[in-house]
Amino acid sequence: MGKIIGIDLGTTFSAVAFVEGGEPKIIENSEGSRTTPSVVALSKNGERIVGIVARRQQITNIENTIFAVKRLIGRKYSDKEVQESKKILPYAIRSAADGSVEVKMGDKWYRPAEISAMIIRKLKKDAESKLGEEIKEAIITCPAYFDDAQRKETKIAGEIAGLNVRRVINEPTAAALAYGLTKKKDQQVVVYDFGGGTFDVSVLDIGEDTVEVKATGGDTHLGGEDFDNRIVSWIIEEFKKDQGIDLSQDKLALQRLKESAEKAKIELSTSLETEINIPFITSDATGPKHLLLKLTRATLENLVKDYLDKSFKIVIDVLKEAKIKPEEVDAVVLVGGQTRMPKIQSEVKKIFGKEPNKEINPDEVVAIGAAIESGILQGDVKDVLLLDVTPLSLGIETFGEVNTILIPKNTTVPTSKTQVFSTASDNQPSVDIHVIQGERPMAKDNKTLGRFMLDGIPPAPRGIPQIEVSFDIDANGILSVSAKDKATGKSQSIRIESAANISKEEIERMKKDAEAHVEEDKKNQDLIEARNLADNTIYLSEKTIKDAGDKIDETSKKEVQDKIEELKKVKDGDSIEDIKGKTSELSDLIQKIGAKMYESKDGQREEKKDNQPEEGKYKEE
Amino acid sequence: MDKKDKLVECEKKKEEYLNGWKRSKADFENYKKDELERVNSLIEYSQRVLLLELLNIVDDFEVAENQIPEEEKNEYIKGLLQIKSRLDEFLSKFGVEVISAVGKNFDPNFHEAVEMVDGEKSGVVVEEVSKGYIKSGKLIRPTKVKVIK
Repeated sequence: MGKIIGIDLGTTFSAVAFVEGGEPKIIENSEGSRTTPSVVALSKNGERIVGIVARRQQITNIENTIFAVKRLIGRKYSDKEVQESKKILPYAIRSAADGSVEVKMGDKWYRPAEISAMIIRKLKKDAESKLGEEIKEAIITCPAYFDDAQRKETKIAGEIAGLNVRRVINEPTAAALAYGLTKKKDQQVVVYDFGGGTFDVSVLDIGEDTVEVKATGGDTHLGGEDFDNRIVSWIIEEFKKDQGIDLSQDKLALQRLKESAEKAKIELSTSLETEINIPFITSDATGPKHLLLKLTRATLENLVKDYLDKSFKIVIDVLKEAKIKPEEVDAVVLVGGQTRMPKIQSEVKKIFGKEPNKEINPDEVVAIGAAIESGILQGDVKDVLLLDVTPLSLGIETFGEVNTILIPKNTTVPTSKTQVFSTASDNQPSVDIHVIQGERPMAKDNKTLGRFMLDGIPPAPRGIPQIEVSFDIDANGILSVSAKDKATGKSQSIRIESAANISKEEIERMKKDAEAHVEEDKKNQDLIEARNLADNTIYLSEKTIKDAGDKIDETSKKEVQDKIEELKKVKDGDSIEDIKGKTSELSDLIQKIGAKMYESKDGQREEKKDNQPEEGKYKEE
Repeated sequence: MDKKDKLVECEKKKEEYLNGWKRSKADFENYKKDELERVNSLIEYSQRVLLLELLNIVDDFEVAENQIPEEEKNEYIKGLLQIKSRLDEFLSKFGVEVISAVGKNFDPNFHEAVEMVDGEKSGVVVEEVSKGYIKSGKLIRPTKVKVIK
């Protein structure tokens, strides 16, 4: 069975998504964007263009560029909404023989569904070229308030585009689906959708197998673009106050203002203040004028206060209509780019007394939900081989009782991992391989799965032998651990079946345990690290003194010995500061002595060269 | 179940498992290829985002250069404008090319119309409001233009 795509057919923008490997994904269009403007045009040379390219040529071809056709789809020409839209939309609109609407593009009259079909066809084609297969089926979303005629026309639009439309689902339902809110029964969900050009609120009642729309409300002519325009007017006002020049008559300046206003709005979603900086915005007899203004988040909130209040009032009204109180609402979902505004998020939170769902990109959430619905219809892909993951990390105990993880938790099995370890002391004849399971950094805090000994390691200084430790988990979750001395080829291994047979409760308990002890564990880990470093420094210092023999004078040796003793005294204590302090004292001292040894050696060489040339031994060094 | 049946079943299972193994190996190889493509497109995307921000600043330099009258261009201003040519140089070094628009027929694939003006040849670009750019054949930003009615 082919893939089913989910389409969010929006008033200003459309988006398309599909499910891959159980995950919904937005499909980029051929221009590399994740949303496509819902604009269709017939260019001067008779070419039909859709999306961003159509929008770029809009003002050269106003009568033949159709946008916001969603406002007309499935409606009667006599509808109030159609008559209102007719006043704003620059293309020709007329009544068809059956009383529905027709729009003119080029010499032909089209039904709105035919125009929508052109948008859907582009989405379909771009999806096909990204996915490398033909797409035959789709789910399309529409506003909750769409009536039967509007839904039917939306379906027809998909069919004209060559798609079998499996379902037309409500935009708020799709948004709830995207957040997985339909899995729980008996839920009241409110969807607050503030897009570029329209504002919608819906109350959903999620039942056993159904999602019922209890009430809807909104304003079909209120959107993020109105916010941009308010910022533009504010800039014009401020500039007039400051410079006495009216920018509203300067088309070029307005163009730059609009871009800066939108940019400022977006920036104020993440910062409290932004700079509107447009050098050479205009000029007069005295020379060029530059625009440099600070816009704060608070100012922006004031500029659009009436819009915000209006939207919140609609929310309250819709709740009343649905006969539920704000506190009875189980979840709130934010949809539409304008909901990135912090004031909207905080006010919505205030109304309902709970954090709204806003983690999914609000421009994409409806298409994502449509894709999830298509994934449900599609059913599970047949040849999925279910692979397990290791629920907890697997590792071995290393020097200082540290849990060294070889296979981290959530690794897909079957898998294997090999790492080379060494000995901790000189002439160590054997190593103890202690296999553990868990997330805690100290070996003793985890679960022991097994242990074995690899002996017969030939005498060697510490750190020299190479012990290769391999972990292998097969498809049944059986863990095999082996250790091999690379020098002798001698090896030992263990087979542990219980690694996988761990109960869910125990996994949860161990995970929680790890979380609960994060801080304490971190401290412990630091302490172990400090101890290990101290140990190493002692080892190195002792070795240096031994190797140097009489090249170091007795006083220095005594000094080093004393420092070593001091460090040894604090080493096993619990004060990280003391261990670190004494370690660095010893380390500094041994470095000084080392440097002095080299110096004196160089000095000696010079001397010998001059006085005892017959002794050429040093020269060869 | 006799031995023969068992063998047949084993053969069948072997075939199924081997195919499954091959499939998963192939899936992984394909995944690696897809991943590489994804990483490349991610790099391209992040460069694009950065370039778009930078181009906003280049725009302001562009406007400044065009607006400062020749007689006002003293050595200080010339020095500043020299910084602009370093930016231009930087862009071309990274393969960012300026789209030429003036005098050409309006093409929405590369141009965005912001104003219609009177003139002789209809549909021809008469003026650039801000420059457009392409990088390795792909559009970064269209040229904003004035077109003859």
